[in-house]
Amino acid sequence: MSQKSDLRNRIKFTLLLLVLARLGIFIPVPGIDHDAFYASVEKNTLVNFLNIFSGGGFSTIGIFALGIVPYINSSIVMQLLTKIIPDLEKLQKEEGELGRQKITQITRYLALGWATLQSGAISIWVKPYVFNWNFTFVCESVLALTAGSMIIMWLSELITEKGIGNGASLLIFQNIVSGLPKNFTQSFFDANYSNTSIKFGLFIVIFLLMIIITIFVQEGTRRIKIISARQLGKSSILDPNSYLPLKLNQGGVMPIVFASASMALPAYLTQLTQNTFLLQVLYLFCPNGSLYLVLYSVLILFFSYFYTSIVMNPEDIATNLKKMGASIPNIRPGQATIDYLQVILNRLTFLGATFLFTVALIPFIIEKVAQIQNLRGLGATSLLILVGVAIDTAKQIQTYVISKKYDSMTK
Amino acid sequence: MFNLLFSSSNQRRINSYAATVKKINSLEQKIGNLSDEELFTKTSYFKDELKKGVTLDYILPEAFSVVREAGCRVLGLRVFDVQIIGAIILHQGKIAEMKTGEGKTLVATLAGYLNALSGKGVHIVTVNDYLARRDSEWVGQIHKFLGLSVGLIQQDLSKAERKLAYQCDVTYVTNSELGFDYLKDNMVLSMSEIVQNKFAFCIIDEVDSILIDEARTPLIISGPSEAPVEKYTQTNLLSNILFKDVHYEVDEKARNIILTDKGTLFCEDHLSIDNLYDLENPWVHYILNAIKAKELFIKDVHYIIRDNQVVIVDEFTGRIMSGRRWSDGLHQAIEAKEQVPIQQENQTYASITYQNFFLLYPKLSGMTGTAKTEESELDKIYNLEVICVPTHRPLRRKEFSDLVYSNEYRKWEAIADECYDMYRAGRPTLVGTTSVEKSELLSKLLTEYKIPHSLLNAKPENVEKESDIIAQAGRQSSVTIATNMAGRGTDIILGGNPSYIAKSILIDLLIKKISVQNNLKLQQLSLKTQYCINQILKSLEDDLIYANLSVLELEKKISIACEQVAISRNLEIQLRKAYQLIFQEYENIFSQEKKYVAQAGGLHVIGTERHESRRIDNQLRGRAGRQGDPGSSRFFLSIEDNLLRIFGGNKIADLMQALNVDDDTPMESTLLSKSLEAAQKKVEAYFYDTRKQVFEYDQVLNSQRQAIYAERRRILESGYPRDCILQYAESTIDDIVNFCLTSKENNEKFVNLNTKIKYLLNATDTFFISKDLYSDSSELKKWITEQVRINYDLREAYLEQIKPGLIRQLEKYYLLQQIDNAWKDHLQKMGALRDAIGWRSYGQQDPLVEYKNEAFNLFIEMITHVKHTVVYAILRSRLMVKND
Repeated sequence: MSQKSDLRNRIKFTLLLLVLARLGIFIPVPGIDHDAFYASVEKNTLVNFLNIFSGGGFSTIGIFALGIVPYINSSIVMQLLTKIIPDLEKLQKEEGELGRQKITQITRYLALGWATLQSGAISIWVKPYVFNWNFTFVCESVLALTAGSMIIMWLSELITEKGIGNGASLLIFQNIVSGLPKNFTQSFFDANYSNTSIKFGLFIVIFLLMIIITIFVQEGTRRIKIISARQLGKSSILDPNSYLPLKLNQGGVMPIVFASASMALPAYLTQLTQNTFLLQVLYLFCPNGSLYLVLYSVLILFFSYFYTSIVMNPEDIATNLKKMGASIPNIRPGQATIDYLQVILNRLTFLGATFLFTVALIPFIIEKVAQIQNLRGLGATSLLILVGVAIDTAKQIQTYVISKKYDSMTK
Repeated sequence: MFNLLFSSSNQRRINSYAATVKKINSLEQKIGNLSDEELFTKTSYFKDELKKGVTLDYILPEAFSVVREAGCRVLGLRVFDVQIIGAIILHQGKIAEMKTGEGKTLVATLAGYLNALSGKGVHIVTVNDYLARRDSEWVGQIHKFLGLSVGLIQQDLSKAERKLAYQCDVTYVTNSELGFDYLKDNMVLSMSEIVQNKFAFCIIDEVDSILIDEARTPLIISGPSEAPVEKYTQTNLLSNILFKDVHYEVDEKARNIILTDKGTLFCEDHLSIDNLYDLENPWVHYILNAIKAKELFIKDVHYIIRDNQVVIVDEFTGRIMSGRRWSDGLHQAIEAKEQVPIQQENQTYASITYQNFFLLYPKLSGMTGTAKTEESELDKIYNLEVICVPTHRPLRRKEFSDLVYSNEYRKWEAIADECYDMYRAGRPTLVGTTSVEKSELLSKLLTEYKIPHSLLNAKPENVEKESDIIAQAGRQSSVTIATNMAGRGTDIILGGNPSYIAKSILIDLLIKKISVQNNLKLQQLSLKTQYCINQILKSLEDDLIYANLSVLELEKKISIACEQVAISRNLEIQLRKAYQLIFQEYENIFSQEKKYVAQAGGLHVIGTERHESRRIDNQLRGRAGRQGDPGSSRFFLSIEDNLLRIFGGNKIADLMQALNVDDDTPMESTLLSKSLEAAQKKVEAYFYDTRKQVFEYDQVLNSQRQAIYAERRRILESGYPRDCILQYAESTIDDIVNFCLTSKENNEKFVNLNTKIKYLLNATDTFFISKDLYSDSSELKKWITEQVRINYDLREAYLEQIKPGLIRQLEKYYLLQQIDNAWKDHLQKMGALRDAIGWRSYGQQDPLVEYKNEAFNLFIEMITHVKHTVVYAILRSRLMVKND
């Protein structure tokens, strides 16, 4: 009974906070000519890309426009830093709760710094649309946007603690989902194409197909059997639950994000150079260039390997296995285990990256073939996040349902 | 500033009790005028009131003043106002923090009495058997005087005795006995074997020790399992030729061993096998355990050898934990190392953590001297609030700052010097050490210095003298070396404790049968007293022989004789006479000593090492300066101490280096003390983490345990288990039908189902399910269920003919046996799952969430398994009944 209402309360609480986070996006930052701004940014791809994560906040500049992005970014930075800086790694691995709290605190400060920088940049960037652009305006909007972002961060932590699922992931999830209808309408109804219904049907099929591939990429794991020394003596049958799961796609959305960021580079470089040969080469790699997609794929592959090598170190795994007195059946501990894991990781990453760029390329190809615009909102990044968050949250809800079942058995 | 805010909130709490205390004080006169009989009848009066619907809170003031009066009459102790505040806190289901010597034991009687009035038993939990016995014999007299029954659980009691004790109004029991009895109650085969009643209210003495320190290790009931013993001896020999940092590495923080590649090869070579990790013939576990035994488990620190057995010494209390064994073959490895007989390996039958066990009580409370530092944990896990009760008299203890030495040898020398100084000054000294080994080291050192001292540690010969040593620890110039045993529950009275000594003399004379001439403690008294005692003993000889009392009963008699309750029997009167003779004379000696000692500065406590938590240090400090007595404490530390070495990091060593001091000069700096405290806090956080994790994971197992125990209890209580069997049969049929109908081949489907059902019903070849039924699965299920029912009726009738009632017994037996077996296997699977689940984090999955989901699958599997085996067993068993 208590468990049941507990779950219900948590879901209610989560929804409430999500609504709050959504509302803030529509409270405009003062001093900007929002109509002019909206008209000008509608066609800006960069803004559109940012909108995916912040839920349309950039086309209106609401106080929550930055959304959870600064926090996510600083989490990613911290994740990378803990792998690089030994002191941080020690804090995370060996100091228990206290250490993790410190890391969280650092992440928050980092998010604060990030938000300040980003809001500063925005307040300068929107200068053309501001009625009276001066230092006070910059201060005000930096304050408003940064505070907004901090509030969002707080909301996300509240959700993680007292609600259901991971707050930051859910907020991004919400932002992506809220952008979908707009995307659909833009793709089909704004433009006066013929055969809308056929295209719509085709689109649904492709959409489903993409989701299936995404689920596969997201959830695909290689389970490496593990046997711990403690269990060794007890039975000669391997426990089916005892495995080390290695994900097909270790990096999540990161390879795609890095790759698309790098893809903006050639277009940027074209503005700097006058050399015609260089320009021609660069145009090859710009959107609509013939080698654009090839480079994109290669970059995704590259960043997949790069990211995997950072988050997944076979030597670490092997040492940890040793520490726990565990081993992989028929593989000797030590160097043999490291090699074995390295081979598996390499293959997994290659396979994962292949699927990843397949998902990433589908929207581009469809756009080309079916002449539909603006499918990129449905890109691999969004889908990967949607699928991942949905699965994790469902799993968490599942645990509540289970404890309810236990309760009913006790009576 | 923050502190101010904090203490004031505590102060507000305390102030809110003032009105009640005032009310109780105003009743004192009225209650004091009542006769013993009138006081006695108050209990039944309260009980009647409660039945009429009056609340406990309403009768609290009067009930407390009745207990206060009874305390005055029985023990000659008047309950102080602060003790009443403590009792109110306990009654409200919170934790009362009260300093040493403030009379916690008495506080528990107030809250215990009040709650026992409601007719549901009150459990008062202590940390060891000795304290349970002491408290029940001493303050238990108050309850008895007021007409409540008092029970006492001791380790060696039989089931029948336990049952009687648990049925009493107030039961004194240790935490481990209480927990084990709970587990055992859920393993019995008939209702009559259950000893505990439903839990109602529980007061935990030394609550932080039980709910925090002991929470890391669960209570486990285990039985023997098959495993070879030779491997332990072999790996023990092997471990001796392996070298640290060459063949293996030691992780002292996680208390873990890591075998290096070189070590692996060496072992394989030595044992002439191909693979240490071979599934068929695994060695690695034995080797790791043997190295652990060699490197991490030290004799006289972690365990002692007693009667050719390895006995665990509890690191927090310094006491032995007889009967407890380290799990997973570690104990065996240590037995191999010490070359004592290696006992069989154990398999877990039942287990529970203290965290989940004590949460079974609808109302829980506790008291201790040190809880405030762990306030947040107590609140988060047990939902218990901590309130500090002010001391009766202001604290006069001086806490000197720590002295830090650059090496351990210098430290011990300095400690011995300090002991010598105190000895010369005539002040009593208590030295707290962390292990048996270190206590003996210091003892040797002091012997060299020619300082007379007594030694208290877990060694059996020293444990025997415990109460004597403590009784005299406050005497002039006495030096007492103790392990953590002298932490909780020991009350060192300046000058010495005359009543304690008088009582122990009586015990020596009557129970240990030491004659007057051979009793050293009596020899210190005047000849006249010795003569009188001899006379009394002679006159009692007949009584004692006729009464033929057991040791426990005799002890009870002595306890009664030592207090002030009215007595009539000759034996008791004579005993009291003897007691008072001895008491009087000792009191004279001690009161003079007390004056001298108090002037010299009171008890001095020396700590020799910082413990893993500040609480344990505070416990030790708290021995000095009880009830406003003078006293002092100082800690002697060295850079080489375990805590600093493992958790301190390089900071402190660097600091020492930077200050560049020579070996002899101790360091005394606030900077150092601060970093020490930081290290300690880190350790506390580290262990809190472990406990929290244990708790989070055990909660899953706890839900399952509650579900299984509830089902078990339902069967146990049921007089008609047939319903349960048929219910199981139905779900078994469901499973079979669903399983068969989902198979692809149509024809195969029928054949499969037919054979399965035939097997289930134990039917002959002619049995056949008609094909028309297959179209509708619910009809099909109904039909099969009907067949099972008929079959079962026949079987029942048959068995009833052989022996009436046999079928019911069989049903119960099958059900309970299958549940117990399955639960046992399930526990093992859950253990394996717990081991394996951590790896899920590599797949970016939350291990706890995964654990919950996988555990549920295992649980459902187990339940299905139980249902199937019970149904098959009972439908297919061929019974041979012997006709007697």
